[in-house]
Amino acid sequence: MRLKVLENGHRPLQKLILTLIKLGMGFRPGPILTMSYRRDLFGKHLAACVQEGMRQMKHWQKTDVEVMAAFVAQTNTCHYCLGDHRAIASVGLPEDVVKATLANWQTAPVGEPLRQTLGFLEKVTLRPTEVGPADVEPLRAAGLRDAAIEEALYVCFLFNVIGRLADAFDFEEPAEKSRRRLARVLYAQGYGIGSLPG
Amino acid sequence: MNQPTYFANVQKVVAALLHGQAQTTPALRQAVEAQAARLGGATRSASDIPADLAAYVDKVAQHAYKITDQDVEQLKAAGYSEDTIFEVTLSAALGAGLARLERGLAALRGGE
Repeated sequence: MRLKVLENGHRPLQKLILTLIKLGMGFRPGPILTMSYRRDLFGKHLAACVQEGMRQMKHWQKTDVEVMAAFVAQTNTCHYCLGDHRAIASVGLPEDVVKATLANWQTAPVGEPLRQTLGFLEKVTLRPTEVGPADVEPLRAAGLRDAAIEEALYVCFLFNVIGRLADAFDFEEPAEKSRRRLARVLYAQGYGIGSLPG
Repeated sequence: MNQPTYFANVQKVVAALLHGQAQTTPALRQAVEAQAARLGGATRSASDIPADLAAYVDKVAQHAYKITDQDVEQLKAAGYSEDTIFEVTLSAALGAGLARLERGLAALRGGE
């Protein structure tokens, strides 16, 4: 981490929980360090958004939004978030499906609604100034309702924010074994621990 | 129209980060957010940010993966505290994310 305050500026209860997380997971995840530090300013509120966008959606499956998160991360060249969400998506989907989807959204072995959504999120992420109503048409043609597209844009928002924090603050890349262990926890239990109390 | 609840949660992020008390002024955080959001095609009023922060803000907004240790060390050498860099980075990232949300929703509603 490039800021020492994100390593050791937490409150006593947070430090205790972070120690326990390191014992259990093998590392202290950058998103938790960041969303816990001075949490009233930002992290507590963003963590609520993450839990909502990634686990309380009405129109997508958990695996769908995890694939979207990994895809947006990859589009932004954010290795940390790509690694995390590729691993989480792979808890619920065959790894070769996740890999093929991230390799080429146009030939992704997923349903047409998710495939078209990935194409839309790529443009929104990389070329937001060029996005217009015509870009939504393929999604509607695939049967998506506006509410489903809004949920996908919410995921896109989240990972355009978090990915920038991961890269700017230089989140520590965990060992693969630790990453997979954390992925299983996040897949099963969601993002409630994103911002630690204290 | 029924607003999804997540708009309320995003507004809580905006209210806390851009209007709450912190080490930097709300005006600076709002200016940083606005600069990053404008780079993503969002509509914001023009605002000034210090020249020695501007390049960093643009980098967070446009290609954060290119940020290096040296970028952050330069800000520290220029006198910015870690808490200030933290707040500026959060504000820039939020602006970039909000721009994409706003542009996407505008397309969905039929606007440019």
